[in-house]
Amino acid sequence: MTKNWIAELRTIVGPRNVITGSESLAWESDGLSLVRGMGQAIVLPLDTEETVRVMKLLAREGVPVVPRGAGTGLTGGATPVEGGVTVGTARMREIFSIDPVGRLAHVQAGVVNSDLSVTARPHGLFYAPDPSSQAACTLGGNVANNSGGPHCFMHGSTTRHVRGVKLVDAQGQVLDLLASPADPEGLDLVGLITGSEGMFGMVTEVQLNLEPLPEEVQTIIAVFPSLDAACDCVSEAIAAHIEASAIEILDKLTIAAVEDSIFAAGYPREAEALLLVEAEGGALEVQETIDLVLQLAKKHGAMEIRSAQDKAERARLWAGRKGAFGAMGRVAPDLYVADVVAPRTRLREIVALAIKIAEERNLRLGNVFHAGDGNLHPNIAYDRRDEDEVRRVLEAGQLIMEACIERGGSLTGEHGVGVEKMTHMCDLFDDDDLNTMHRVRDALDPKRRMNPTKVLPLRACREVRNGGLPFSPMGNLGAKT
Amino acid sequence: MSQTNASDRAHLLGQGSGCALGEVHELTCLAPKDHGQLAEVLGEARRRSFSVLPIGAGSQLAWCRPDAIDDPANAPTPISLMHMAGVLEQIPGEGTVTAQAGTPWCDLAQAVEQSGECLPADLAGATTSTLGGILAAGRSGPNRLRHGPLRHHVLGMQVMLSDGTLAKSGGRLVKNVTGFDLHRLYTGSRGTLAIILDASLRLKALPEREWSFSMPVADCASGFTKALEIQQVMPRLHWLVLTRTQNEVRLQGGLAGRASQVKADQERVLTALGDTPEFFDGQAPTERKRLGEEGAENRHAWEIGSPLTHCAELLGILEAQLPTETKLWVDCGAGRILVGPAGDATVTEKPSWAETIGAEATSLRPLCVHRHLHAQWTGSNPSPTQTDWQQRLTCGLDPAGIFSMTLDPGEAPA
Amino acid sequence: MSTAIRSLPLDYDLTLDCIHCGLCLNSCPTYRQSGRESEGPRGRIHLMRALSEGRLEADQDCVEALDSCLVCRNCETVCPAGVQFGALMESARDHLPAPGLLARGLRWFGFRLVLPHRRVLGFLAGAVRLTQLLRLPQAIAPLLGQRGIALAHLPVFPEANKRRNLPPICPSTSERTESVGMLEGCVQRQLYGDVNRATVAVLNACGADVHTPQDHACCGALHAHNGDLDEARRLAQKTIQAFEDMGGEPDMRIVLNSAGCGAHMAEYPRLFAENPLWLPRAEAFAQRVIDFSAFVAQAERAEQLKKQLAPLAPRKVAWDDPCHLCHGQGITAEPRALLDLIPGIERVEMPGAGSCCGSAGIHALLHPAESNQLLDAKLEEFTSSDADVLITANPGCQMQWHGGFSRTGKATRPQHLAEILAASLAQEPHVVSKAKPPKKG
Repeated sequence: MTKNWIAELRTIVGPRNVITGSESLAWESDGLSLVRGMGQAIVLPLDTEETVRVMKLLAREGVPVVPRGAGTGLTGGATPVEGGVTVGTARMREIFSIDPVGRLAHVQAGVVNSDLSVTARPHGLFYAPDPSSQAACTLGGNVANNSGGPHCFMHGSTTRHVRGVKLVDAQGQVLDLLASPADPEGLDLVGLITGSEGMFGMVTEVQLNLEPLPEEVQTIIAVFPSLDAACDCVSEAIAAHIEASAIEILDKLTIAAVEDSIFAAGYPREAEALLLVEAEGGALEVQETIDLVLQLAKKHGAMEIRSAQDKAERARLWAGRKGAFGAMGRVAPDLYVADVVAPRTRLREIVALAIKIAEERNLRLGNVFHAGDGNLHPNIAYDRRDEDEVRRVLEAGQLIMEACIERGGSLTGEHGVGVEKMTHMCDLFDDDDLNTMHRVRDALDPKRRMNPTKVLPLRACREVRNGGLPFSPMGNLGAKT
Repeated sequence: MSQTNASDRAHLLGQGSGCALGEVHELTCLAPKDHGQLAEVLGEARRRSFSVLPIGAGSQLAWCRPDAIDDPANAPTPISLMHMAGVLEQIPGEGTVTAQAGTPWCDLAQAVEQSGECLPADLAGATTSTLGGILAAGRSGPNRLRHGPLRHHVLGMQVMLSDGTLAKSGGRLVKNVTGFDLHRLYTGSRGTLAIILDASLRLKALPEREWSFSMPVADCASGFTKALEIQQVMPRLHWLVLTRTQNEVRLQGGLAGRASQVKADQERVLTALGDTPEFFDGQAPTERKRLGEEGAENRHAWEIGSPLTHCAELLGILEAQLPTETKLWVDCGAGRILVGPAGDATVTEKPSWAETIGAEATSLRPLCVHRHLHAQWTGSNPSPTQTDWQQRLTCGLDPAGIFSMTLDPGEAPA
Repeated sequence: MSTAIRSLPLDYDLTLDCIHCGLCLNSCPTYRQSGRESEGPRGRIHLMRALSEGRLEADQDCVEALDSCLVCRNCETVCPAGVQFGALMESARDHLPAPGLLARGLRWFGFRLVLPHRRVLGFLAGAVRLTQLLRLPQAIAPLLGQRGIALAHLPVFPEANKRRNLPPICPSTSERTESVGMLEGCVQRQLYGDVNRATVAVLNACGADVHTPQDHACCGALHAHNGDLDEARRLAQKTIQAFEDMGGEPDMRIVLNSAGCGAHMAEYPRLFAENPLWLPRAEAFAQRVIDFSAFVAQAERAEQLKKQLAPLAPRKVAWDDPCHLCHGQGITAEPRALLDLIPGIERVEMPGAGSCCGSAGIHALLHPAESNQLLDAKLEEFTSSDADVLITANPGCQMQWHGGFSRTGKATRPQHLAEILAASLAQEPHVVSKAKPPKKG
């Protein structure tokens, strides 16, 4: 059957920017390589104008749309949908302007997160939300997922930095909220769009808040004899209202992986747990914060404390932390990255539980997490060719999620729901809650064409709990609604 | 339906549903005891096709006084959640609090102070306002300069939709990205989408020390320019407000945080200010409360939003155009300009000076007319798509139309 | 086709190292150019893995996606999982047909007929020089589009005199401390003989006698990078043999002034992984290979050299990292340190110095538009850096920059690191005491 509309797409964006051949396989998954999908085409528009024409065409043809940034998401949010078209922002890489007075940046959605901070630096500014994938992930993707990062402990997640967006909705209309005032004139549509995982439309441009570069930064690492001690130290620090800019923990397995990789940061390998804390701001308050951390660390048995002596050392310490996920890739062919949130008063308990769940199933689990926010990343190494191991890994992931929720925690702190956590939405929300989300989505996208089969389970929670919704990790996850 | 006035209707309902009546600002309103009763009231509203309006503590009524609406007979029935108040959860060491919507903000502030924490917005002047009311009105405090607007610190919410459905979004944790952030949608929706029942907020540490200054300036334009300068010099400023009253124009601001840092920072601020202003140490919170009250939206008629780079110019234009008794209150970090006089509920037309500020401002809205959310008012200029989205959302969440006073259900988009 | 791939298990295992994180994307010039996942390292690995597993057939589309790779190996520098992308791509290209007539023609003519044969190379160089003197390339350029423009702006091949071999031994000019071997290279010798002579001058100044094999043509780098591993192996064997035959200490260092050759020769063992006879020889050989800048920047040699460097006329120089030096060998500090030794000049840093200039072996010939796009970005950086001279250390890069400057009407021409060091040596040193080095018999 001739797809005339695909030919029409080529006339809009240029023939090179519509991909339908065998190389389409490269787009079959995002950072969650376990889940794959195949659509009808991939389209790469250059700007908002091309995106509008593309979206109008796809609306006319009733084709589902999957927005995609750099495809670094870890929950399958950018997995292609059967019969759908992936619309990517990879060609929308322009930084339009930086306003040093208003501390704002106007960028296209495909701009890479770290590129913005690099560009803002000469103005004495930086972009605060710093996911570990910041050298690759796009700002549009950050908006869709409300991405976090270590420094969100002080500065807040992406949603606290999105001032305005330009979005092309399911019907191809442009919602231009770029020049938004400090408070929204009507409804807070920008706040609604942030974190909506591509289901309300395609963000093509963003206006973001920038922060002034801190006057002073201090970074320390503290070596603990046990993960328990490190967690307790953090819990106490939070209770003492510490105002650090980032509080991170790495465990022994993760440290070993990092030290074996190109990101070797000089972390002491004998550490059972490593606490990485950074404080930024005025010189005096930074010193007080660090002193408080040192005090607490010693109280909880820290065996060694090191302070970064210069920018280079600080950069190395952070490169190690941010490279942890990638470095774990050396430990086994595949990595399951969990992303649960624990109440900060119960860090130790939940971390210990995660370890136990993995041990029971003979799995290697490495903990690296944003301890300050209670956002845990229990990472499990495995080989996808071993079907039984895959089953055990998924089971462990599920149990960890359930354990967290039972103790007042949450499903996901920064990676989003996507495909991976869809069925678990029922653990956190009931049918009324989810139906309300459906209502909002249906109001904006009545034909359910924007990123379908993601985030919201389509069956009632009762059915989901009784195993009603299939999640097939090894095969094609089509739009089987 | 019969031509009864609002209070009659309220009485009728009250008797019918067993729901008590309350009084807020001389308005008779329904005060349901719990979620069940509230659902019943909403049910009645759907059946008898009249609209309801959650009014919090009534401080924002200036913008929706029943007699301001064209058709008093069809004025909305006020609902107060005064009986659904109180803290639901505050775990020491978690840094969050969850409370019911009817909780007075001040009570909440006091409750968290006990554990050395404070609420994320400094609305200390809002003496009676409720949590739900403040969130629904989308209010923030002057300390948004440092901490961001209040909506950025709402972690989750539970609301009741027009059909009585209880719906949650978000959660009680500081980091959470599960599902859509509907609580961001409800915040600032002025009760047109749902009734907020409870909300979770992120708390901040009580500052060890506060300090503020107050200084007369020649006029608003130069005052704002000075404000921008100081912000560059001292990024840790907590709040910075420019006020124009009959007598004078003043630039006021303050710091808060660790004592040693505040001490060092205040010297830098004083140096940057040049002339020696009055400054306050221990008095600071009271000063700020007074200021905050002055900055409440219910004392002003208009709000203008402007990019910081254009504010000074815009203020110059306003000062030239407005009579000297017109009050101005400017949040120098957010670019928000509030223009007096207070609470003119009959404002329906764009003021004469609105034309001249056109290019400089990004938004202009009246603070006293509720219906602007539906873009039926000429003052604001939302784009057709924005209007479309707002209509779709309102119809999607409230198909019966009981939360919107002027939207005729027959006009709902397909 | 897919069965042929699957029969090479080494290929497949390397693809398993990739965890699909995507951190390579922003460092990949072809991904940044087109925005196509299939033209980024992660996507290419994904396609190669799929080809290995038989999930994909090697048709035009996916072959082109793989072929458009520059093999600049920038992705290897940023990859947290240590994926050996260069090796993967070589292995894949060896089993895939070259797409397009030009590529296939080049492989046959260029790789098999010309490069391995010193005399053919010499003859061709002379012929091209003649056409250049007659300004023939400029005449036919309009007929050949972008390739024609590139041809018209090639550096002119020098006269026969300058294309001769170096003498077998070039003795040290300082107190002799050691002997080294040196590779003259294929293109380097014909086009940039001056670079080789400058290299020798610097090495001599550092106290090294330089030995060069007399009958050597090509190390086989281009062959390996472009899918002809058989020929690459043959040339590698010839190279190893040539240096073994030269004699001298078994651990005598072999200095390379061409980044592409140096990176490839250091990885010779991989070509012989299945060959128990040659593997040890290749490993011994690879141990000896060292880049010119790394060799000279070593503490004592640098000290020795520094004493002999005289001030050059003031100018700003910018160092451009050849991909196979910074990404292929991890060498970034040494060239910069050497430039900093030269008195009188100021070194400025170009922010994107580590990004590919677009030369990439024969990539400029096969994909002229993309190549020029990359070059244009680099030219802009050069202009913004306010530098007067561009310094590099690879013949391909040098040709590419030369073409770029010529095409955009700039007067400056790129220099090799050895050339500017040699120029500084040739000046009258202002060091007062200067012991005349003893004549070496």
